[in-house]
Parts: sequence; C-alpha cells; structure tokens
Amino acid sequence: MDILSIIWIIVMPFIGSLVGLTYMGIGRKIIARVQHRYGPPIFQNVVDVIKLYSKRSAITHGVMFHLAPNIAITGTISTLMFVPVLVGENAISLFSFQGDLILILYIMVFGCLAMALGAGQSGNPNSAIGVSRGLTQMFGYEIPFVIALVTLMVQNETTSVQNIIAAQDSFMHWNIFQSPFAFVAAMFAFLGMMGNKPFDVPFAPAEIASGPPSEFGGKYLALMQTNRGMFAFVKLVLYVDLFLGGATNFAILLVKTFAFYLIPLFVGIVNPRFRTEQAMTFFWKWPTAIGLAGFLLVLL
Amino acid sequence: METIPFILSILFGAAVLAYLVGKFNYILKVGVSIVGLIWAGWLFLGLQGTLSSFTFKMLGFDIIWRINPLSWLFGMIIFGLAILTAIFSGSYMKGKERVDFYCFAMCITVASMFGIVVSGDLLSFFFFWEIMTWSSFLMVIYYRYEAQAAGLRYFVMSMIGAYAMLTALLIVYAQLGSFLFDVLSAGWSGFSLTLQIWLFVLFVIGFAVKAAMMPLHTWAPDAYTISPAPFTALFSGALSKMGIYGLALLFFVFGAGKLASSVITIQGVSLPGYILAWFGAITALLATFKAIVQDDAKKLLAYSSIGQLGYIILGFSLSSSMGVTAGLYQAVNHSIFKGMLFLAVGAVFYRTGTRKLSEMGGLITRMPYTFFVVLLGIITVAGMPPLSGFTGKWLIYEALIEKHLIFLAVVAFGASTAAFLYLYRIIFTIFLGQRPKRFDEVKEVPWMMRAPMLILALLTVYLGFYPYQLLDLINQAQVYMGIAPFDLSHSMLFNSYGNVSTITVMNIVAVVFFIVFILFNTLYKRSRKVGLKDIHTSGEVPGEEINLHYAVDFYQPFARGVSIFLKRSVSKIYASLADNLEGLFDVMRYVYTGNGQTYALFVVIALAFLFLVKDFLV
Repeated sequence: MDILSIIWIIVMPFIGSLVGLTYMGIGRKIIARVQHRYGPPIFQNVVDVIKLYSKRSAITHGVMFHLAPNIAITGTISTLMFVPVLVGENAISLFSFQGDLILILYIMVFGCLAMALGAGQSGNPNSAIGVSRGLTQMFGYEIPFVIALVTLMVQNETTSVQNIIAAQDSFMHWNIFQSPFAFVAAMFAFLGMMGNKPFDVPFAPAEIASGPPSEFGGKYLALMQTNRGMFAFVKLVLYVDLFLGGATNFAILLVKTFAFYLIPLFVGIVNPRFRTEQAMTFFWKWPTAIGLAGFLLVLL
Repeated sequence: METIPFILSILFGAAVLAYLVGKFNYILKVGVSIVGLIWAGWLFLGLQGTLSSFTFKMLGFDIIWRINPLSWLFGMIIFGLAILTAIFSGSYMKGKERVDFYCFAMCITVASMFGIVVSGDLLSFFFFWEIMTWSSFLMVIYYRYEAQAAGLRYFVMSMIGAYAMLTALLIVYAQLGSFLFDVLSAGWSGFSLTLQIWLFVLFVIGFAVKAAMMPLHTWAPDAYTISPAPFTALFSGALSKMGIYGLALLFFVFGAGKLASSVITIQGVSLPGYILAWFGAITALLATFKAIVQDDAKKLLAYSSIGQLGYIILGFSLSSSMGVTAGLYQAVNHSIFKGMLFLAVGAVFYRTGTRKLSEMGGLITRMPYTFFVVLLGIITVAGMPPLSGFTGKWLIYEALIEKHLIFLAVVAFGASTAAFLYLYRIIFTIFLGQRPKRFDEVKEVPWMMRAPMLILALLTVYLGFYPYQLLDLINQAQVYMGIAPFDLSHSMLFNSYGNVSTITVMNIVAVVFFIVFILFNTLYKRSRKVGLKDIHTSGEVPGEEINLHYAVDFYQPFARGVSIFLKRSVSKIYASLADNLEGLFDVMRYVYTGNGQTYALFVVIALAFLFLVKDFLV
C-alpha cells in the first residue's frame, strides 16, 4: 500500500463529513427559500459542529450513552472504507477490493445500532419511540432497496462494487439506464434512507423532540452530527457508484452526489410527514411493485 | 472398550448416577452430570478425523455406530453446548425442586443426541430419536401444571414426525431388507419416482418437526418458553439441530439428492429442494414477524430460533457447495448465539423473576456482564460484520445470488432486516431505559453462570476474526457428504461473485474505534454523570416515582402495518381442524355407543348378514 492511498484513507472521513454537512446547509437554505425565508448561511451546519466540539463539558447517562457516538462513527468510517470514492486513473478505492456489496449493506447498520443503543440508555422515552419508529421504517425501505441491489448483483453477476462500476464503462451503460426499474425502486428507498420528509418519523421534531439524539449534547452531539454528515456522504457515493457509474474526479463526484441529494430534499419540501405504519407500508406498494417488474426483466 | 459405546455408557451412567446420588447431595448430582459430560466430550473430541465404527447384531438386525466428519461436527455442537449449559444449570437450578430428575433428563437427552449422530443405521437412529423426544419431553413438563398444554403439544407434534419417519423407515426395509445407511444410499436410485417422492416427504416431515419448520412449528414457542432456561439453550441450540442433521443425512447420505437429477430443476435447484427452500424462507420471514410482537423474552427468542432454522433449511435445500456450507455454518453459529441469548435471558429471569419485557428495564448497570453477552449476541444474530454472524449471512446470500434465486434472496434479506427489530427490542427493554424501582437491588449472576455465557460470547468474536477455522471443519464434512468443498483462504471469504476479508473488517473497526475512543476521552475532561430520570421532558417534570420506560407495545405501528400476516396462525388452523375432527368422531359415537346391548345387536346383525350371503362366500 503506497503513501498516497494511506493519506486518502486518513483524509477521506474528514472530507466526507465536511461535504455531507455542507450539503445539509445548502439543503436548509433551499428549504428556506421555498418557504420565503432568508435561511442560514450554507456553512451553518459545519460551524455548529465546530462550536459543539469546542464545548468543554458534557453530561452522560451511562456507558452505552458514552460509547454510542464513538461506535456510530466507527461504523460509518468502516462503511466508507469499503465504498470506492473515485474510480479511473486517480482512483481512491480505499479498502473496497476487500469487501463487497453485502458487507456494505450489513456494516452500514452497525452505526445505526450503536446510535439506537445510546439513545436507549439516555432514559428519554422519546428517544426509544424514535428508535422504534426508525427501525420500523427501515424494515419498510429495505425491501425495495434490496430488490434493487439484488437486481444489480444478478444482472452483473457480481457482488463487488468495483465490478459493478467497471461494468458501467460508458454513459449508456450506467445502471440508471440499464436497469431503470431497479433505479426507481432504489430511489424510493433512498427517500426513506435519508430521513427527509415525508419519512422523518424517527426524528419528528414537533412530536417526539427529535427522538434518538434528544438527550445528546456537547461533544456527543458534535460526533453524532459529524457522523450524520459522513453517513449521508457515504450513502450518496454508494448510489453514485451503483447507478451513475462512479466518478473519475472530485468535481464530477460532487455534481453527481449533489444531484442525488436534491431528490429527497425536493420531495421533502412539498410533502407532510407520514404516520409510522404508512412510512413502512408505503414502500411495499409501488416501490416494491416497480422493483419486482425489474426482476421479471432480469429473469427474461 | 470401543470409544463410541464407552461414551454412551458414560452418559447413561452419569444420568442414572446423578439420579441416585442426587437424593443425598446437591453438589454431587450436578457434579456427576458435569463430570460425565466433560469426560464424554473429551473422549469425543479425540475422535476427530477418525472413522471408527462399532458393529453388532441385535435381534437379527445389523447395528452400526460410526463417526464421520459430519457427525463429528454436530457432535461437537451437542457436547460444547451441553457442557456449558450443565455448568450454567449448576448455579441456576440451585434450590429448585427435583434437580436429580433434571440432571437425569439432561444427561439422557445428550446421550440420545449423541446416539443420533453416531447411528449408521435407521433402526438405532429411530431408537435414539425417540429417546430424545421422550427425554426432552420430560424437560418441557418440568414445571408440571403450567407446562401441561405445551408438553402435550410438543408430544403430539413429535409423534406426527415420528410416525412419518417410522413409515418411511418400514418402506425402506420392505424394499431393501436392511436398515443400514450404506444400503439405503446404494439402493435409493433403484426406487420408483413415486416412492422416492413419498420417502422424501415422509422423512422431511419427520425431521422438520424437530427443526420447527413452518407449518410444523406450533410446539416450539411454548415448549421453548416453558422449559427451564439452561435446557432451552440446549433445546434450541442442539436438539433442534438434529432435524437439520436429519435433513443433511436425507439429502446427501440417503441419496435424496439424486432425486434432483430425475425431476424438474429450477435455476439449477431440484424441485423438491426448491420447494423446501421456500418453506425455509417463509419460515424465516413469518417467524421473525411473530417474534417482533412478543412480550415474553423467551417466546421472542423461540420465534427467532424458528426463523434462524428457516435460514439453515434454506441453505441446505439449495444443495450447492455454497448453500450447504452456509447451512452448516449457520447451524453451528446458531447454536452459539442462541445458546448465549437463551442463557442470558435465563440469567435475567434468575435475578428478576420475570420474563415479561414490559416489566423490566435499565438492568445494564446491575448486570453488565449479561448485557455484554446479549450485546454480542444480538450483533451476531443480526449478522453485522465484525462478529461471526456475518459470515453465515454472507454465505447464504452469495449462495442465493450465485443461483440467481432472486425472490428467495429478497425474502431472506427482508427476514434478516426484520430481525433487527426484535433484537433491539430485547436489548432495549431489558437492559436500557429507566429502571423500575423494584429492580434497584438486583445483582449480577454468579460466575458459574457468567462463565458459560462469556465463553460463547468470546467464541463469536473469535469466529468473526477467523471464520476459516470453522469453515475448514465444514469442508471436511462436505467432502464426506460428496459435495465440492467451499474454497478457503485464511483471511478471505470469496467466491466467483465477491469477496470479504474478515480480518480487514475486524481491524478497521478496531483501529477506528480505538483512535476515536482515545481522542474522545483524552481531549475532553470527564463527562458529568447524571441519572436516567434527569432528562429533557419539555418543561414538564415527572415525579421520581413515575417510570418513563417505553416498553409496552414497543412496535405497535409495525404490528398495525403487518397485521395481515400476524392475525393468521397455524395453531388456529390446527385447532379448527381438531374441532372438525371432533364433529366427525361425534358421528362415530352413534355406532360406538358404549352400550353392551347395542354391540350385541351389531353382532346379531353381522351374523345374520353373513348367513344371508354365505352362498356367495364359498
């Protein structure tokens, strides 16, 4: 392993969280403009996180509470390590040759579990309600998501992300055109995954006081926000890798990921929140049907 | 003396001795059974790689007891778990009634399971199978009156399985004139197709009852819930695996796998296997749904166990190299993690006296070791990467995707995601959140109970690092079963589709965790610790006595969403079937009135009828 790739391994988590948090800031600005407000500066989220890191004191509710943000960010960084960020000549593949899509699917949940455990030990009933809702919703969107991924894996006869990217060598070979049904199903799942409205039942600020993170403050919240930004980035990069053929340099990566980021944002601006069971069963209707239609195409 | 009969006599001897000396001293009876099990287990460990066999004639039938890599693998599951649960029981059963009876039944169960895996002929196989049913039935009805219904259900379902198997066995004997496995595997292909299918169905029913495959699972939730906790671990971890062992025999030793070539195949999987795979997948999904809405910790785990066995059946029925590896790996893994979880829930029950999830909470500070075990347990069940569960999940998905069985793959993925829900429920409602006042003085369980759980927990970490150690043993079993072994490397899981380096994953997770941990704890001063009641409640201040633990109806929205699956139940179908049969038997009652004069009338009528037709009869 050469020096350059080691540097990327160290630097990538920082870039990831920075990009993710900035996207969120831009998202806030866009939402504000739609609602005829001025909105915060686009680096507001980054500034907030830096402020939180500089807080000297924090309170804890117990061991799991203390460890949760720590384990959560471990899970997210580990996921990032298996997602190829750039491909082509200046590839940044991190450890993505040593793990495949199934690994990514499962290691993604690692951080979420840690968050859920930490939220559980906070003793706040709102946090537990949030987790219960979040898991319920996760089971909902996982179905179309898995349908889409299985379609891709069977179609390309590989489970490795690198090979899936390699198969999308030209514009018309992108999976968004090759398997459009899978793409639509995966996009629906993406709405649930990003947790924007109408799928923000786990956080629901007005109902359960932002749910799982409600007891976290100071350095804990800072770490969790960093984690949130990075996790958003990881998911975006994964989607770009799977459907848009990856990116060859950072400019293209930013354009593609931001395009994906806007979709759930725009859907969220104009939609109210679902009820919890609706947020789950919604995914089993049209998204699943579309995904299954894609399946039939693969089988034929 | 030959090793195999020697091990059997140790186990049966320990059972009887524990029962006899148990009248005098508690330590003696538990000690006798533990020593017996460890001794037998030690001797068995030495049989690895050997092909020793022991033959004798009984009533004119050849009886063969032998060891091969497959039976060694399953034998190790049995002995490993049995020893640990016996040690656990040593502390758990203290002060309980009829411990001698408990030790007796435990040793007999282990002996019978050992008998099953060493049997080389159908006769002794069936004989040990029935001893196993009978002795585990004794354990199910340990808490006598409250366990009656569960015990009866277990026995009836086991009988259905046993009669199905007995029928198959007699058909085989009628056809071949021998009970030996070797004769059967040579003669299987000579059977007609109809007969092959009949035998396949009968054997599958026999084995699926023990493996609790839907729709034959109805005994399992209650029987697992009601039996004493250490035994439940053995019940779910080892005893239900005998059904899986049976399936392995059926497919690869009896020769039902040859059925594949003669009938239709779907994506390269034989039709019987494909149907069985669907049974397994549906079992995995529906049992998981059921588990999510349970309020009884052991019942939740019981349904979870049914679901996990569904996965194993799914793996086996693919009959591919990878599928069988997945099935066997998951079988061993399931024994480890379900042993952990059942023991941990037993430990909680031991201290709190309740299994109701809605009554507990906040035990993490009181029982940290048990919490740690449950934490590792749920990570393993969920199949998350650093621990051993991931390898099992990976193998199953790769096997399904390799065969292009996409619908099965989606159902399997869905069931695995749904499992997160009940796993979080079990850890949250017991260990996290606010603690009810009456559990403030609860203590951690004694070391005798902690140690077995911790050993199993460390095993999952070890296998997470080095899954190839287990896969290597599985490969030996696969060679014996006549399946191409799964390609192995010391640090990689790989096939033609993809690869995962378990060591890299483990290292990344560990390195990142420790870097963040050290930065996080050295750059900042110690956080101030506040109680769990001191929380943000939007200005409203609840009194000290109010417990805000969210545990009742934890997944109410989920239950509402999937109510269509939950409201149907196989038990209800069986109950309505029983009602209808009762109606039928009421009609019979008109004939069998129980009145002597009516019967005399029947006799007279029959004789009269015979007189009338006597000319035609001759």
